[in-house]
Amino acid sequence: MLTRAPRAWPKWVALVALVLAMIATVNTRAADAQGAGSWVDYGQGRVRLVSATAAAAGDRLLLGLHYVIAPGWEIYWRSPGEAGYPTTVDWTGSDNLRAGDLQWPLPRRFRLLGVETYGYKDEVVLPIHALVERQDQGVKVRGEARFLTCNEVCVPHTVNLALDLPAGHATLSPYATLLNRFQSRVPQSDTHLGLTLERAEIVVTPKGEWLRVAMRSDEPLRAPDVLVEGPREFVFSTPATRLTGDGRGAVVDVPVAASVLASTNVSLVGKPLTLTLVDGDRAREVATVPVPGAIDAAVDGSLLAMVLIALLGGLILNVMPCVLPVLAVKVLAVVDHAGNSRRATRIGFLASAGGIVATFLLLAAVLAGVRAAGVAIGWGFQFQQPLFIAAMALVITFFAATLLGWFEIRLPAALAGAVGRPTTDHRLGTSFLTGMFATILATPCSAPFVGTAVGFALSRGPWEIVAMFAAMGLGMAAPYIAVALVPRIVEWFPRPGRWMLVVRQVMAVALVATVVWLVSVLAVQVSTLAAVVLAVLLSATLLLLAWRHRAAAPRRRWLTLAAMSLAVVTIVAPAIHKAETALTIPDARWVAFDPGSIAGHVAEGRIVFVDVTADWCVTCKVNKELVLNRGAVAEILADARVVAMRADWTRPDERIARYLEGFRRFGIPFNAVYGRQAPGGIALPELLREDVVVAAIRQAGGAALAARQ
Amino acid sequence: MRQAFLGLAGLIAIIAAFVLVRPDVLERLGEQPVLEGQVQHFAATRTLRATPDLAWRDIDGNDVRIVDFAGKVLLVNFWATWCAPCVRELPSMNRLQAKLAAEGLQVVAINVDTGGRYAAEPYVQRLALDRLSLYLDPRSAVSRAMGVSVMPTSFLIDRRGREIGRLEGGAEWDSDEAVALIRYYLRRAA
Repeated sequence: MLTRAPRAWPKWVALVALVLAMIATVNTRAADAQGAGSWVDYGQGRVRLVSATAAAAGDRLLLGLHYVIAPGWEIYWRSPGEAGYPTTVDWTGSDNLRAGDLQWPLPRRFRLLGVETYGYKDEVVLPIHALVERQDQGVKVRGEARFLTCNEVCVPHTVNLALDLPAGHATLSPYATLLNRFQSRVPQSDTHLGLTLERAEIVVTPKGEWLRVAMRSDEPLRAPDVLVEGPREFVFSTPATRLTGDGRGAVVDVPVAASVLASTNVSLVGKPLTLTLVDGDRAREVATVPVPGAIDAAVDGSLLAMVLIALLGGLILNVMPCVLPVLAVKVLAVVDHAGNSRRATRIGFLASAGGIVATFLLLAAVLAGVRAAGVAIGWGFQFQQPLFIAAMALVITFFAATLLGWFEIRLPAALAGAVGRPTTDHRLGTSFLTGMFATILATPCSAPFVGTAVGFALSRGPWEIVAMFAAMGLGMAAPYIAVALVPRIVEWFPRPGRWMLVVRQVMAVALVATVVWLVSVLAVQVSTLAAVVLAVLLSATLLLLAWRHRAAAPRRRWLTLAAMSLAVVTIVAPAIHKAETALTIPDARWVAFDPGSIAGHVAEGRIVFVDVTADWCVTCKVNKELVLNRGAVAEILADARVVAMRADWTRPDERIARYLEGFRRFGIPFNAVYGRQAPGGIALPELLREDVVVAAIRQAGGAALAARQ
Repeated sequence: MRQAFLGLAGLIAIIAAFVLVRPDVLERLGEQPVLEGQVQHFAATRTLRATPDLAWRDIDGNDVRIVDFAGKVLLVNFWATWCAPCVRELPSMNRLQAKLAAEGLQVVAINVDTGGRYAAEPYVQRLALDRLSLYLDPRSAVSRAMGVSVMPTSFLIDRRGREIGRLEGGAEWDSDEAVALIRYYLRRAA
């Protein structure tokens, strides 16, 4: 017996050890089961439900959909990219549980068969925040998960997942760490991550639109990236990223393309986007609406092309209806030279051309400056300023006085020296100023080619603005330069004589008509009172000048002083009186401009016609008289299925300026047609034609309307 | 020895007689479909397999079945808009239809998007699938009955509606090797 005892002891120990080992195993299995459902193998990976706590304690649960994915296979983010679809879970069959939305950890970019997608490989947990309805009871989680996994082929799956959590104490499960690791990768919208969105703007390149996102970080950036989610009409591909000087800022250029679902060319400007700003593991979610930005550097050759377009645009400005108010000034420029020597004619016309180009450069400087300050500004901006209108009215009054022989304009000596050789000919100064005013008054309206040129210039740097405006100035001055080259043209006029006096007087009357027009613009822009005050002051100034002309020399000096003081008062007076009333639309057919409502009208099947106009835009008035207010177009606009919307840009209006920029236009007239077939709008040319408008309405989806005509 | 010779001669005679009666057998022996390149993963069935007599829909909502195409060799393809390899191979199917329609092939591309016509139609337009009709199986009833688990899957169906074989995954269907494979069955099933 004694000899056997030592052998029996190890046997007993072994048995105990075995039993302990078995209990331990069962224990681990039990722990395993607490907080995780069983794996479902779907062939290209496996998936299960996990919980951060082993039991349901309290009213909240952190659950997760845990994927372990076979090598090479991908499952998708909430925005899958150009193909794929995200996981969705139907919680029907669960008990004592209200599950929230799936949370999406930061995905990675994958490119397969030339298609870019966002998703996950290898392993991921999609966290789920859930509420427990009855806290003293256990929770039964049942989820039917639908998801897609792709490699070189795609396999859709629907799997049933289950997890049971008993009621009990809030002890962490073995999966808490895993869950929290992926939960921490879900991008948040708060700022504590130190990533901020500086701006999101749409950049237009010859190849299409880019979304340019500028972001900043409070620490140096390592691998900045931006994920873009937007309307399904757009596809966003892999961006080009560059860091800015200090390494804490990045500019990310995301190419934007129309997706399969886009019916027409639509712009991303003004569309709501969700951006996920990424730097390594840090990610922040930001909602934004991109604004129009720069038109990006085109190829070198196209700058030359744009200069040619600008030249052409300048030339066309000479024959636009907007030139009407300064026709008198222009006729004068020619008539004035009758009987001059060829040399004098040549110099005079060159001076006018110089005045035109100088004015364009001046406009360029103002536009570049204002633009740099970040204010939306358009072509013809000067006419939105009451000060400018008043000043112009005053200057033209002086002009009229000159024509009547009551006053002489002298160019400052320095300027005269710059324009040509020093001369005592006062008409050189007059010629230069004639050019200036012809320009500044004739350019409130955009014109074919001008819109393109200005749009290009304003979206570039200051040098391009100067180059484009100089080209436009040369284009507008081309007729003057032509005469300067062939001064014989002027010799066709009869020799100077009494007829010239008559012409000058007729022209003086025409200039007074221009002043009346300017005063009427002011009446709309500011108030009738301001217009009346201006009219009175201008008349007084004119009378003073007349009096001064007839007065004896000693009196002249103080009359000059009086006229000048009155002039200053004239300019300032209307500016002091502020506009109180909103611009009203007298025509009942038109509704007030509301770009936000366009999409709604279009969705309800209506055609929306937008007309951006201003009181100072003569071309707009011509469009109205010849096209919008008559014939087929008027009938269509009166139809109940059409919403005619009018924006009045007589005064500066940031909203209208931004709207125009969406179409890459910076001046008016502007018209656009929206409809089912053209939700992004079809921009019409500056000079309207009935057939063009009807065709655009048909193209926008109003075929029935257009056909009735 | 002599017996063996006689036996051999007899065997040759029997084979010769068989070939005289059924000359197509030799042709078949020498002309196997070549499975290479784009169609190397084509899995021919051992024996022709009947296909389920289930209906999918055309865009007007009419029922369409495999039996409706009796007399033609069919390439039945299941695709979805969310499936990049499917969308990628569709244009080659359109070209294949243009190329082999005259020889008796009909490509039948069936979309399985749950969104149906509204999901699929923009893709048909964008991909300019002018030779293919849009067919819809939004509940995947037909695709499931045919045992589709992977997207895309394409079936070759003979003139009597029986499955010749299937290819799981995308292919360039107008490539030389794919055209050769399909022509093989077009000739054989004539």
